[in-house]
Amino acid sequence: MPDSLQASLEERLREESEGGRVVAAFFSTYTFSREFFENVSLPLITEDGERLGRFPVTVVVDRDQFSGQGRGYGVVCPPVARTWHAKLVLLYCREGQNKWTVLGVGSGNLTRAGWERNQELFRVSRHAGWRIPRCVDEWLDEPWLKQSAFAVWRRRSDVGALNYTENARLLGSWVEPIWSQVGWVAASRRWSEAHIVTPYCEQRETEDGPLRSPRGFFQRIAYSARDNAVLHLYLAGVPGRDKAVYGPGDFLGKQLPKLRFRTHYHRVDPTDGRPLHAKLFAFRIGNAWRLLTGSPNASGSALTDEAGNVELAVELRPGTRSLPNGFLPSRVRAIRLEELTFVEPPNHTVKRWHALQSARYLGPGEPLVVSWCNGHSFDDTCLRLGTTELLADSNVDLDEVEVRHLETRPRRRRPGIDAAYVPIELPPERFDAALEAPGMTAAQWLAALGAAADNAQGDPGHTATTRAGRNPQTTATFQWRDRVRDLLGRLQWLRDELREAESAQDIDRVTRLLEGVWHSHDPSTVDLSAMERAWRRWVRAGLWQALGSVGRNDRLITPIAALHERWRPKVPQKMRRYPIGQT
Amino acid sequence: MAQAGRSSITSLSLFWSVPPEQERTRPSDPLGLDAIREELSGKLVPLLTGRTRRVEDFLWTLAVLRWSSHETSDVRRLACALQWERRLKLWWFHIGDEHFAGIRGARIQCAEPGAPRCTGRALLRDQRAQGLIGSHLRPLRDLGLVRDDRLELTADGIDVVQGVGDAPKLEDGDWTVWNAGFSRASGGIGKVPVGNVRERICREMPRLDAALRAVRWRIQPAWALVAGKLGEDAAYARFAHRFLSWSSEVKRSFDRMLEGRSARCPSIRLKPPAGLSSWEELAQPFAARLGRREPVGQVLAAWHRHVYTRRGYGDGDLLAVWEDGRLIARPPSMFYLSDSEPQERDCRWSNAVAVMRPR
Repeated sequence: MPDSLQASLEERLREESEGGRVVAAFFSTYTFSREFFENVSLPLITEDGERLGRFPVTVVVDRDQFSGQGRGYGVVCPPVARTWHAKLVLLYCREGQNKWTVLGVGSGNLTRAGWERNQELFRVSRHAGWRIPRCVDEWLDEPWLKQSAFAVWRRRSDVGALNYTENARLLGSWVEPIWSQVGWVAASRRWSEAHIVTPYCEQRETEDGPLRSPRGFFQRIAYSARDNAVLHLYLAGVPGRDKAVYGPGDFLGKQLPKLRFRTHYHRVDPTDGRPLHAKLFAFRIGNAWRLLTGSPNASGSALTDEAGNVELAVELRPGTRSLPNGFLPSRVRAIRLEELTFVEPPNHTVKRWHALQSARYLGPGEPLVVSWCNGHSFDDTCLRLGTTELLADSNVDLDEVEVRHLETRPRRRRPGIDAAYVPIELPPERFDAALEAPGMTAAQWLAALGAAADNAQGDPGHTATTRAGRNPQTTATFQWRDRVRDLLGRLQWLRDELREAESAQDIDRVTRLLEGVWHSHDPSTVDLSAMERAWRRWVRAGLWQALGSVGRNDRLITPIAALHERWRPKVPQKMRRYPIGQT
Repeated sequence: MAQAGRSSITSLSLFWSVPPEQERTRPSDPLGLDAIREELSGKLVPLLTGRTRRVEDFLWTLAVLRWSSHETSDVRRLACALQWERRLKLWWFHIGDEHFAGIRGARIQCAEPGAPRCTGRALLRDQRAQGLIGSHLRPLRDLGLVRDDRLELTADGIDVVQGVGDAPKLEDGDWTVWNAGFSRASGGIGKVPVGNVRERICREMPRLDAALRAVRWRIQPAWALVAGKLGEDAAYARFAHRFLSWSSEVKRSFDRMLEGRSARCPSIRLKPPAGLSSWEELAQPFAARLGRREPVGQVLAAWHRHVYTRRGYGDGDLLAVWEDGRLIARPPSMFYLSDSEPQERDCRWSNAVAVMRPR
């Protein structure tokens, strides 16, 4: 396959978002690897973690596949009986007034295998302005997703509908099965040649009798096949076995050949240990080709079943009379049916102890608000946050733990049932609240101002040094000079933040920090030394000056301007003019 | 089969996925062996990192920090220093030096139209952690050449790279200007008495210096051989000697079993020194179970689960599980990365020899 037809998803996303900042991100996946997401996907959009937790990132994961998350992003597991199989990357970028959307749809999950290892097919496109495809927007109105950070951001922001061109449109199966929307193949539009690449097929295509299942995908396409129609079926090869492919032998080997089209079987080599996971459908109708790719396999539950999986696919109309070059997988070998061996793919479905519907965090020191399923309770279920078991009245402080999920296990051992995991919902206004903690001292508040600056101080391999440890205010002597220099950096950070703020949420976060620093640096507090009192005046004056020098005058900055006005009388007149925050 | 057409899938914005070009920087450590090795390395060669291979790398790190010193905050100094590092590596690649992290990224950027460019994307996935600054900042701070409280050179640090001069003036797309600028800086680095820096390092680790001298700076790691000269670190050295080969064998067994092959795995027959916390936390209960009647795969699967649980990962992140009497690679993560770099597998022996050996 020519190189130009191959690319790294990570690098394509980086290219399309380059030149600006990601200000909101939305992902959807079937399987989810926390390790991979936090080490690869998140650094890609958070500038190596510097902006982690400072803009909404929401991931929708199938609830049977979720097994935990960390801080800085939200995970939602749809509480629905349908398999959540859709794979999506949606990034909203901004550079000054320039806004754009990056949309990635394909077959790969949010795991190392899905992004880097398997043979997957993706479509990454860039669209001017902030836009959202309608079939994705439909999800955001669901009660279980409505309160996610991304859904809240989407409601507050100016995001338009993503209108596809004539050649491509995104289809989702949340409301209607994908095959019903495609509408290429019908009694009046018969196909003569088809190519289907599918790493997975269902045995149950035949469960209601020989191919009479109303759900059957292959039966559906058989109705509209021309006489002498040919189907090329590409199946994933079994590593180390030359003539073996994954798939249900009873169906693919015995029932499929009875349908009214000829089937040619192809084995896709697991090249370099990279198994096939892409899904493709290409149908020739008349002289034109119609293509579909994305998350659905060639199965009833993926494409034709009303209550089937939740899938996303792109329909493409290439406008050429021949199949686009590079569309089919490389390293393919045709094999006659008689020579083929079918191997059942390994079954990795697990039964999980889904005892909890949801868990919601209210704030530090408060118990979580948990919602139980079907009569479950603490009596039969053990809830764990990290390594701590929670009881009904346990208070929780998420600032103290790394994880953002609960583990639920049956109290009595039940063979064959694994723990289930439930993401902890954060109120949208708290998704960036990592800096807040009650009872913070003046020094801690000041350290929180520009904490990103501290974190970015290099030396990431040695993160043991705490913020406070670097702060000159924690040393025994007063160190006025070092404090002033430290403050300079923090004020510079503040000015940068205010200049580059992109949303009301950004401003709100900085405002909360500013108020914390201001109030904790009250020079009229009793029992202060003269030096400490002077220092607090200095800090307040520096803050006030920084607010006045932001140099932008838009509606976003109004709360900052209001603070500047409100604090003016508290800053001594002489100190208003003395250049504190300038180098 | 259909004929290939003139259009291709790229016109439809489609592509087949492949692994990224940029270097991986975060190898998986399914059994926590790297963490134990890192702790041992920290005891035996505290002043160097696994990426310290040349004293010159220290000097270049000081140089890029010097060229960023005009910035007003640490955030800006870091961003500026990372850009200087990127430019420097592009130039290294241009002149044929390929001994640096980020070579693939440099190759791509040097081949782009209009190269070299003064600004551009990072060469490494995690540039901040794995580049010059991420690799060498801690040793430089310990040596007193970079300030502890901010990203600035100390007076000693400024003195060491005095000859490097101001930041080169570069222009987009003009290698001649880049050559002139970096050659001047390189000349300055060449004039720095490297011996002074080396002596400074040896002064900080005198016992290690004496020990390596005694074995004539041998290339092959021999921690057991020098243990007697390492004083209170002797127990760590003896354990490291045994641990290095044993951990490789355990890792190899894990890999083989993931591929569906059988493997044997011996137990480690040496008591670890007291206070080796990562060993106690990650490996001790499982290492003791190896070499007994229990199937090796079962022990390794339990060990792997224990390590990932301690890191806060869930079932979905596991690379392998014990099912039906065998170790099975999990489809979501069957592909996992090779072990850490070879230089790091000797508990920084080769790093110490390369940096501390007199030239």
